[in-house]
Amino acid sequence: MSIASTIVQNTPLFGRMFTVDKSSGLEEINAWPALMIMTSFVWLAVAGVLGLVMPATQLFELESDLFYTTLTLHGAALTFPFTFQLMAGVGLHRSAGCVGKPVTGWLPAAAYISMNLGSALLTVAVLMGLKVSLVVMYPLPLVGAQMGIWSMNAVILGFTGIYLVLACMILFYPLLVLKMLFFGRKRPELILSERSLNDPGMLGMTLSALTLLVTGLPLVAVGTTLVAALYGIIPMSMAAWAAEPVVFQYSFYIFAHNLMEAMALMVMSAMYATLPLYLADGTRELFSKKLANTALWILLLTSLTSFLHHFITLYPNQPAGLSYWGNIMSWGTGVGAAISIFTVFATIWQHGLRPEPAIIAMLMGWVLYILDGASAVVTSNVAWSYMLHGTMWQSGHTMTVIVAMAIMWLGALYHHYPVITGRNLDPVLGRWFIRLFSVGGIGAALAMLAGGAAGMPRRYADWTQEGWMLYGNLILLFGLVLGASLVVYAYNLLKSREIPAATGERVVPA
Amino acid sequence: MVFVGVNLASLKYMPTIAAARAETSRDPVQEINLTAKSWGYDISSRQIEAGRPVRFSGKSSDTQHGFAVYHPSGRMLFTMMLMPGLTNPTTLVHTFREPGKYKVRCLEYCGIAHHGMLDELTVVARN
Ligand SMILES: [Cu+2]
Repeated sequence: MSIASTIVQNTPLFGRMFTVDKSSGLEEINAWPALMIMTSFVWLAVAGVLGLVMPATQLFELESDLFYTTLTLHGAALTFPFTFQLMAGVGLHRSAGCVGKPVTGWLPAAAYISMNLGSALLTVAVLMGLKVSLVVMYPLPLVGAQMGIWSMNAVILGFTGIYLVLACMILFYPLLVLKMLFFGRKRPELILSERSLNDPGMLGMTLSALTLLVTGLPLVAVGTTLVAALYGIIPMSMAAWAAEPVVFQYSFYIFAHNLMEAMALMVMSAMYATLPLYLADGTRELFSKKLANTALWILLLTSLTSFLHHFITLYPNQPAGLSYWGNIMSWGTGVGAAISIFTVFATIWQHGLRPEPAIIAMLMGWVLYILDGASAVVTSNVAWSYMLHGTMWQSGHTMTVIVAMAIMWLGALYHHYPVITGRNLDPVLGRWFIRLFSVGGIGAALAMLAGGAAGMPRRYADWTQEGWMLYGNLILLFGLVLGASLVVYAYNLLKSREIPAATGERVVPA
Repeated sequence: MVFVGVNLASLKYMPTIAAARAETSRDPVQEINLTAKSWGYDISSRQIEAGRPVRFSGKSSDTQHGFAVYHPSGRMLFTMMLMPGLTNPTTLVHTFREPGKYKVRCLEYCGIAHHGMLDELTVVARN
């Protein structure tokens, strides 16, 4: 029996949601994914509580310090150990089932430990005072320590945590995916639904793993140098180049931006793989595989340099030509997204859809993704960037992309859940989850975008100026609905029922 | 169509082009230099003449800060990113049309008193 499934089995409450079915003979592709997914739900619960603390600090006029603490932790927990880990878990399970290779050995363990230990260390550092927001705002950690706002120990601990999380996302997880796809022996008994690497349902996995690995390398170099200097392994003078704000910022955003794009590539592939299984006429084919893959390639090529849109307002320190290039490339990703949107809707139009919760959740995520794409092209335009950068518009954009990814992966998890656990979910609760999540997600997105358009700053403890509290209240309201939907989802997992053995054959969706 | 239209239209808002236009306009450009430091600004002049282009040149002396100017109605006009460690300032040319009090806010999160990093510019009618 795998260590991973033992841990899941022995975890109180959360373990019950994800206990791995040992009778299926698929433990090797299910155990680590189940552990990752379960742990992502633990972080989701933590982030939910933190999400409630943020408005509470404003409502009861508590210290703004507490607002920035929870802002940092809530964002970091939802992005990395929740969404990324959920994606990693479900993505590994489905890729393994497509290529018939086990998810075993030291790499999944390394990915799991680095993500969760790193997130835990970062949490402790933030509680020790390091309030640097989700994007670190370098050189803020060092400046804050110099100003005596937080200790240097908190900085070292926080950087160690971030470094471990990055090691998971840039090294261990992509290497694990690439190793599984390109190396090792195929084992027929582990194949759930065979796919070639060029299948639209698989191609995104390869492209996204390569994106993470390649665009993360500059940040690995900078991060390794900085962490080595912080621990005194190399003298600070040798790390001076990496400590330059402009070096850190650019290497950070070339990765951070592409991380989001890599997650989009991966979720698009999951959509391409899952949608055909829910077509009403049973065709099991996309409208066009070529078009589907074209969209993935366009998205990959345009996204690589579109991160330049983060620095449009730095002119002339970022030359206008580069900003315009970033603008055009960002709009180019929109072309990729439009082709994939067309493929999905043309497929449904042609073959009809069986509206089951798994695929409806994924399609709702698709709708949020489109909404997010629209907000993204607006803010990455050279003219509009000057009026929106640093406002709630961008929080709205970031939140929406993460929320879209989250519901798409929760839909994918809904689809794969019976194979992982041998239990079924209740479709009535599944539909309620989708309704609440859609209302909460779309509502919060629109409220944040509207706040941003009205000039409401992001990462800002004081919303009482210029009537921004209106948007603040709407964000809170829709945030609560979003939270409620996730409680419904978790309750459904908790109440899942064993699939009756009497039906004889095992239904294997993959 | 939208793709080409919007992106061509936005060219004229590009800072290089706005700056070039200001240089060639009949009115001399008002130069304002500013330095951001946690949590406030050093601004060479807080008084601006309406109708004449202003060039804001900003630097940061500690961490990342922003310099966002808000219209008296509460709408945001523009923001600039001030990154420490750079030799050249971040610049932007803007022409204020209406007299009034324009709030300045930092829009790059810079620590626990970030929301208190405020200032004000006064735009006066030209005589
Ligand atoms: Cu500031």
